Amino acid sequence: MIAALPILPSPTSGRPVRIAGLRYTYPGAATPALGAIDLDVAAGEFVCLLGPSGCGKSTLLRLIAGLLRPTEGRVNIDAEDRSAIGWMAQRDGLLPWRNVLQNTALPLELLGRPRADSRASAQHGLDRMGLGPASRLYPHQLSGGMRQRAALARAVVHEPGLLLLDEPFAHLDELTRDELGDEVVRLWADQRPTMVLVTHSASEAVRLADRVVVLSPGPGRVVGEVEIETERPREETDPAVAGALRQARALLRSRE
Amino acid sequence: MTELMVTRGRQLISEVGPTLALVTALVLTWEVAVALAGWPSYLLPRPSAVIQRLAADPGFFVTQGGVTLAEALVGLALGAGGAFAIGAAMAHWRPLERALLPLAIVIKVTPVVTIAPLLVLWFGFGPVPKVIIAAVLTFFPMLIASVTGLRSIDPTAYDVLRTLGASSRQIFFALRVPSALPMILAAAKVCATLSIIGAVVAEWVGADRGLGRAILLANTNLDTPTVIGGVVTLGLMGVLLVAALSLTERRLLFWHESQLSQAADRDAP
Repeated sequence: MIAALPILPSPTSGRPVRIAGLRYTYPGAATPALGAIDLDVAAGEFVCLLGPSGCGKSTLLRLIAGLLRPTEGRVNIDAEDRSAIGWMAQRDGLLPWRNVLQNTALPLELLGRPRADSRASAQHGLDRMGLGPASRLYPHQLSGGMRQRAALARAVVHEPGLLLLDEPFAHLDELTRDELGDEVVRLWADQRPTMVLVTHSASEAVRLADRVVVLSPGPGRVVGEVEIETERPREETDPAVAGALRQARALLRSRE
Repeated sequence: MTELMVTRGRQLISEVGPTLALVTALVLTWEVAVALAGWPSYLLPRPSAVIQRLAADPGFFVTQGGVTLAEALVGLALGAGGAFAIGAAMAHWRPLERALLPLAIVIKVTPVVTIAPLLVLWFGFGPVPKVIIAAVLTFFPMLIASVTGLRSIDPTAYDVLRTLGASSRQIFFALRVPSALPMILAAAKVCATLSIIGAVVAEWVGADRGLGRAILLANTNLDTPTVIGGVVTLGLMGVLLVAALSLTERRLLFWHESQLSQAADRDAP
């Protein structure tokens, strides 16, 4: 077996995220879903938001993405232009009438790039992710893992400065989850966007992130953070990773 | 090549064969029953008499049917097309939906064919009253399909488009219209037959041409083979319209569950 080469991040073009005094209550809800949250994510940093279900971590990600408007406080992502954000969720959200290539090219088309140009860039991105052979297939012809891969290709095709992933591996089997996790790390090391990934899996979080931010049960607040400096790809048997995992789990349990 | 043609032929037979067999059996039963009972032709003609009537003067049925079909299609285009445009506006802006939907339901539950005499009084015996009735009948089903279809979008795809800062116009054409297409085409099938019914009924009230008028006239003269020949022609028109729309569905909706399950059935051993 060949030892995995360390993945060394290139210099970042990512955008910092600054969150201050953020609270959110869904319209008509009696209790708040989130807050108050204060959190800074440095340019090019890879942060995992870890928390039990219903803690508002997905709500927090939607607030960062601008899909929700804060009830109180602010989110600053230092960018006004439309190419700033890449978004990927639990469900692939691929358009079933477009093949993989056309789906991947969609962000570029929406941003006003000519169609031929968009498709060429999309094909290039798919080739690099090993999805080239599937580019003419339609979503209904793909497995769940392949669909999520295509959704990831679409999320990064316009090289966003901020990549937001909402439980992207939740519906996948363990092997596919690990493979796609490695793919996410490679893309991050290569394009160096700022990354925020939401998950309820502590082991996933410590395998991927520079920093794991643990949220309490709803209304979610930050209960603690764990930093992991171990080089990627990471093994769970690595003492530093195992230690981080124990710490993250302890934080998760602390407010239950 | 020939092998493919044989496969295609078999496919066609397996698809239309059962229907064809049933229709043949029904027509034969009818023929024999009339012959045995000895009913007069003006009460119930034999199918063979109807076929004779159709074969004797096909030009008559084609010309009169063409008039009715044109009225129905123009009505369908105006009614369903207008319904889609208004449905798009309603899906986009809720207050408009709240204002218009009750009105649309009132129109829907009113038997609009009963205003046909009034329309004839206003617009005469020409095609205009027929087009209006056909348009009004097709309006409601297409309106509901458009509003519902344009709203039935994948929430994740919607999020992706919004994080990219897509405009309402971009979201409409890239996401809403394709998502609505299955419902719109299903409604179009319903509307196609409704438009023919609307045109025929309007012709009954007052017309100088058209198959509806021809059927009414033949009925007054106890020329029952012509009546049934006319009905058969109208039926064929409906079948052709719906078949054309089904073909369009197969082409445009190759990605949709409705077509995928059919394809799976065709491929099943």
